[in-house]
Amino acid sequence: MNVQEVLTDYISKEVVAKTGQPMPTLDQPLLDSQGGVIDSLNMWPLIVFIESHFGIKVEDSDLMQENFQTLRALVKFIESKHSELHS
Amino acid sequence: MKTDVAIIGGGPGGAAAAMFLSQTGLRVTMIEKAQSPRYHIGESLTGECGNCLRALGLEEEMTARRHPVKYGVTVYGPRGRNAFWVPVKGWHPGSGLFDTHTWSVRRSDFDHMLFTAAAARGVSVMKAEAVAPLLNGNTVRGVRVRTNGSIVEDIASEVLIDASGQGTFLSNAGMIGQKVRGNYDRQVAVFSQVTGAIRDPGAASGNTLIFYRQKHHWAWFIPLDDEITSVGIVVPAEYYRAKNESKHQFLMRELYQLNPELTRRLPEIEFVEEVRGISNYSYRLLNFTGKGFLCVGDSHRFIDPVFSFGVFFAMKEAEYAASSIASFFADSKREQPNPFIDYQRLCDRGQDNIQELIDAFWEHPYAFSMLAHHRYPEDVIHMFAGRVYNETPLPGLLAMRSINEQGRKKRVAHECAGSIN
Repeated sequence: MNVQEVLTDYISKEVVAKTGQPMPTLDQPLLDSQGGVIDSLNMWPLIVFIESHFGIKVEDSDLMQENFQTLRALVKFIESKHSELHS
Repeated sequence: MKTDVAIIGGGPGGAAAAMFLSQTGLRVTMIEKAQSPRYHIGESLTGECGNCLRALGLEEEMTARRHPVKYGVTVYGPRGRNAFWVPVKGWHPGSGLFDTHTWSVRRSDFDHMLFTAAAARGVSVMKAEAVAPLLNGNTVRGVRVRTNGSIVEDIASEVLIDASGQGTFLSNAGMIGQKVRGNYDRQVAVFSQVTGAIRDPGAASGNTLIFYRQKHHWAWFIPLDDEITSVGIVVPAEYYRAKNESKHQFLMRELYQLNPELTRRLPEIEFVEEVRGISNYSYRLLNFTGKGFLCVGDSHRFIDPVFSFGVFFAMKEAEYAASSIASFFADSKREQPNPFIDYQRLCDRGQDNIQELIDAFWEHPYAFSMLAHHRYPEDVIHMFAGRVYNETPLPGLLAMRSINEQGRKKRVAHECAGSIN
């Protein structure tokens, strides 16, 4: 699975299935302040999952809202972290 | 009249400075224009503010007066979910964090207690209005006051403490420059005191609650005694104006719309005070010390009322000011261009650190939440208590600073792009 598929799989199983909200599309808001499914409670497990699954470290300064704004932004963030790691 | 130290203002900053100074044997004169007790908001004290009271030997009296005991603060997220709890904890260099408590207070009672305690400790108290600083070049030599209507008197002092709060006496007198606007736009607070509010059960009943709606829009819930709770709403001034309601209408509507958890806690309330409103904005003065003077608390900086740092800054800075003034008197030469520059740097460091905390909370709520709950919970406990003066910054504080800086850069880039287009 690519990054997007892994994230979609995680969010649909761990978040959407529990809250009953619809799965966001690639460009729909992800954060609950904009009506999305990720709030400050399930954001931490998501970060822990990202770190362990992709073998990257989400630094303090990566916690900026814009990295989590949409699925597309999050995919882009993980891919850039990943390429940093392997370049 | 002559005194060693003249203090303008008999609120918590002035009275604490007076008491800390009275321990050094200096002659202190505290000048207050209002009749004590007088009404004030800002009722929740931080952990280190509790320690200032202990240092002044006032713990027993705080307990005897049955001020609600505060073990921490709960901040409820939007829609009443995602609450986070920050306990009041003390810290000991050997053993680390330990459980302790502070208080919340009805300010008229609390301020009056400090005021009378200062008088009982040999501080001269003068009911008068400060009119203007007395100057000799750029050195403050005292203050001119007006007592009893029209009688004017000059009080000569070696050091003048401005503890005038948001009255910002020395700034208004043109002595220390203009206020610099802070990061936040003008805010309006509308508040009152109610009976019938539902608190947490048992020992937690004295805790402070904060309800978050969105950026710069929140409510406080602060127990004042067994029955009465202070409730208030803070919003951007624009928002308040647009509502076009009376203060009472505004407060009633907001209390039941702002956050479902707040609604749940106010099933049937009765107002025991009029509904009041104030408007303020964040400001700072860059040079608030110099030859013959220094400022404490709101008289040089006000950030944001969220997280209740107002009384803490006033009292902690009073403690530092007293020690700095004691060193000044102990030094026979007194040749420095600014004898209180170290005090000023210390105050700036503490206030800058709290500014980072509050900026991160408003500007980066998700990042704040991850840092506060998961990565640096202990550092956040230190910051909420007011342990923010260390030379070596806490890792949690550095994390907030780096996020705030990124945010500021992005905002600047955005604004530049906007002005080009």
